[in-house]
Amino acid sequence: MTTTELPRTVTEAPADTATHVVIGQRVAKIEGVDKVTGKALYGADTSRPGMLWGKMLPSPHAHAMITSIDVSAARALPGVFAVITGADLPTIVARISDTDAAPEEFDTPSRGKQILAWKKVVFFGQPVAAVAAVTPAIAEEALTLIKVEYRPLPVVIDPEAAMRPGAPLVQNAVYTETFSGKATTPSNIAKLTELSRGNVDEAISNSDVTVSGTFRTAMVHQGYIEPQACLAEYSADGRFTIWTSTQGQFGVRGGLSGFLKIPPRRIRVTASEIGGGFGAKGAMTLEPICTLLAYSAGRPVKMQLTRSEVLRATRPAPDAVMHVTLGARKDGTLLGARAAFIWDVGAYPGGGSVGGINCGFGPYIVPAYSYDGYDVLTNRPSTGAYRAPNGPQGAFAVESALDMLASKLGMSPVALRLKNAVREGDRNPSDVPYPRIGFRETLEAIENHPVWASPKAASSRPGWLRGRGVACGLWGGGVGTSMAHVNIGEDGSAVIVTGAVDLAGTRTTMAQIAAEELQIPFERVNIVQPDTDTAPFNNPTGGSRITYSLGTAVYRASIDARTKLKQRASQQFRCPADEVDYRDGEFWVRSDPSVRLTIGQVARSAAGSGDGPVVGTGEVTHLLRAPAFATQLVEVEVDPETGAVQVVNVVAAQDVGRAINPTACEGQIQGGVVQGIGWALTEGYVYDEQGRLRNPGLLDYRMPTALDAPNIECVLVEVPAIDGPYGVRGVGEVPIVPTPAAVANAVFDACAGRVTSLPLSGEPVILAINDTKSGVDRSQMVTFNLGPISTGSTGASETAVDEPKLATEVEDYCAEDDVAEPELE
Amino acid sequence: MAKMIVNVEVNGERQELLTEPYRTLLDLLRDNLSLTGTKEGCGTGDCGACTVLLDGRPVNSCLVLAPEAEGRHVTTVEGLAEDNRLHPIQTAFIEEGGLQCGICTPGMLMSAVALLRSNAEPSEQAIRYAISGNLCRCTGYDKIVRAIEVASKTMQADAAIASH
Repeated sequence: MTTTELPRTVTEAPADTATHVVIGQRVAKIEGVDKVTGKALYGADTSRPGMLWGKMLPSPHAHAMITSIDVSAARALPGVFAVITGADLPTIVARISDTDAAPEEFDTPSRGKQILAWKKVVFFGQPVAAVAAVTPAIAEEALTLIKVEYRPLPVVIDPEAAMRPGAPLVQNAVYTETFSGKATTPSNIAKLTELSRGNVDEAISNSDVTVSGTFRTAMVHQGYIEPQACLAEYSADGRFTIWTSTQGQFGVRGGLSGFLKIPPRRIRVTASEIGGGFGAKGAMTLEPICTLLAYSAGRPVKMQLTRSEVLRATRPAPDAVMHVTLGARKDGTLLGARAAFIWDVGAYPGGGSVGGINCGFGPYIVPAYSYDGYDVLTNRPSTGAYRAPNGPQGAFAVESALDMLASKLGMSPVALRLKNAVREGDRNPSDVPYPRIGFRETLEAIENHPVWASPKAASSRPGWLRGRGVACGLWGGGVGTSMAHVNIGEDGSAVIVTGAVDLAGTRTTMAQIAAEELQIPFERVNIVQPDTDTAPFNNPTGGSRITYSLGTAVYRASIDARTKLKQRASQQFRCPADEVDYRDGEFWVRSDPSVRLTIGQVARSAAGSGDGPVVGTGEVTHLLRAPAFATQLVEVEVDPETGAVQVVNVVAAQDVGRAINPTACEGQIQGGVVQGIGWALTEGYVYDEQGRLRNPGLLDYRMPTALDAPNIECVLVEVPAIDGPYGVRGVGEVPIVPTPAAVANAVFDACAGRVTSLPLSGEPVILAINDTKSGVDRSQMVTFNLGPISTGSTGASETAVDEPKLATEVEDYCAEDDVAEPELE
Repeated sequence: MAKMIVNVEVNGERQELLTEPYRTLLDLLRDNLSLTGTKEGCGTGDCGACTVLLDGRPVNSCLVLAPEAEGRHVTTVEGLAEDNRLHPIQTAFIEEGGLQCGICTPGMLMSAVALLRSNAEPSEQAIRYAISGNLCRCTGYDKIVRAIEVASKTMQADAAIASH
């Protein structure tokens, strides 16, 4: 066990005032040895005898009708065992499930159903056909023998263009969904979300100061280093076995069960070690197609996406166009806000909506507002969850606008935020009240930090300018079902059994919780994550819910085990259980503390007598959400000649509730900040006019390297959450939320150029500096001219086709977690 | 295409491997030898997850054709620990929190080992430069840099003890 003290701020005593032994310690990763020796098995690392390799044929068009596909030459190639196209899906599914083929169910605008293109392609790189062959090279050769004829259709890549009447329709059967019903004519606007309170027009016209702006962010990718990989095997007993890199093995089982129309008992899923997910591996990618190939070929099939497939055709985060107007009194009190957020959700519905609004505006008290969110379809890959889904975009708009307001008012940006910061009992934009939160404490931690208090240093680089910016962020917190077993071994050790996927260190925190509650050394706890046949049920890992929810299950399971051990000890002591005491691995009878039994002795004896060996169980369904807030101070250096920006220093304050493992908390924060720096400076999809992705590789899709990453100091603020063990809050999502805005605000501080689009390094900085030089004040620009938009008329319609959804726990869960606060009670 | 035999020493063991000439050293390691500790993140030399030592120098094994490995010495992450004793760099990564998901870790370790062999006491900038070809998406690099600093100190201390 390694313990080091790093600076941290504790603003309030934890709700649980007990002295903790293992909680709060910097213990090393429990699976560390497997990961540094190469033993850990990731998605692509498992093989089976007789295994084939699967590959997919990508569409060269962003939008086109498929007029014909000829796979005969591919099928005839020696070494090829299966070739399937979209047209084959109904018959294969019907054969597997012993039902009638139902082609119409694939003719729906659902990415989960159209695992291969159905009649038309709707984005560049969309899989059109798949093959399985004895080697990867033969599979690739077979792809070149598939002859597809396309009739290209007009392409729409820009979400604002896609909203206009007459824009090419990406999907023929998507009708704008609103709170009041569905439109009757198809539209690229899949969903319109309207949230409002009070009279916003009056509030803004009564304001002493207003600012407006239009903010744009690029489509970005989660950038996990492990491409999706999957291995599927079919057995003559009708069962499928799947090994896959996923954030939720039960989600994959449920999803495959729905897709294949077979009961879950016919599917066994093993989640591999996962090489990064960040939300993207919460939804299925390869699993259905790999399963169909294995069934068709009659052999196990392994698939691994190439990096260009990962970038072209998985589920990146949506780009956004965000119009924001803020109105405030002279003293900085916000009076009203108006916003229209346009989310480019890609070629299939889902993925945008209110998450960005709740994350962006949620930190502030706004008496009157009107927020509209548009989910817009374009000929880009369908989008998905990426760490605090849509929070960074929303915060970029709102936190930039607040910075503009602060500079107009001549106020400190921290003071402005403190003036308007939500407290317990205030309501978020979806009208859900906040429980106990630590937002103000993160702002105060930055305000009191030596970096903020000290004067700005000059740049060490000649001609470069140094600037400092602040921004805040919110993540509503993830919840969901978790279960854990704690098996007590005959030496008094414990093994936690869970079916949850560990993305980046939760096995260690779970073991800390069990060690704490069983009062045994951390080294005596192990944790395993077996497959779906063996492990207790868990919702997928995501939304920063694992330490909070699974932690609760492990906490309960450990207490259950301790209670059972006490009862077993009482059988050995021949006294009632309530007369037995336990501490630090030893049991005794209260009336005679001199006679003691160790936990190992009790467990050993119980293994063959009395009520038998001990397994503790713990379950949790829904806890109250525990919102997490962050405030970040970013220092940048800007080259005014080239627009180059280097982030040189970050102080990241975050309310973690209770840091079970400070090293793990810091790792999450530092990782989130650097992803945010990539989003701010260099990352972004670049499409040409035909809708082809021009940078589908890690050379041109530029993620931060070690040389781009600054020093990041973490300030762990601990305001305990009111639910969950020890006051803990989810840590993973929120650190990415403030970063892009904080970088942009720091750039403004450095060079007086207000950059309103991401990624910002280079030309946007030069343009912003030129705006300032030529006297263009972006804060006064009229920005609410959306122009004519096409949602069709709203209202329920008999002809409207309900969007059929793949019944996957994963998608349901992620959809829920796209929204910071979905409970509209 | 006709297959060929490649003779290569991997982690101190001589191997005679049959392969098509277009396959890569990474393919040989992962598929012929089942040494899956070396990872493929991009296949184009941009991410560094497949970094191994070729005659002591770090290379992206996805960019080395199998025939190029003929007669050479390869060290992979599986070859770092000796007699079940972890290399100091491995211990430092575990103790300093220099890994999260762990997919970049094997390549990161190999780059770090190559650095510490050529520069026993690297500056922070030298460390960042040495691992700038290894992308990590989880950690933000900070704790990786600290881990390499710690390993450098440990290895120097070990060397000092050994020389006495």
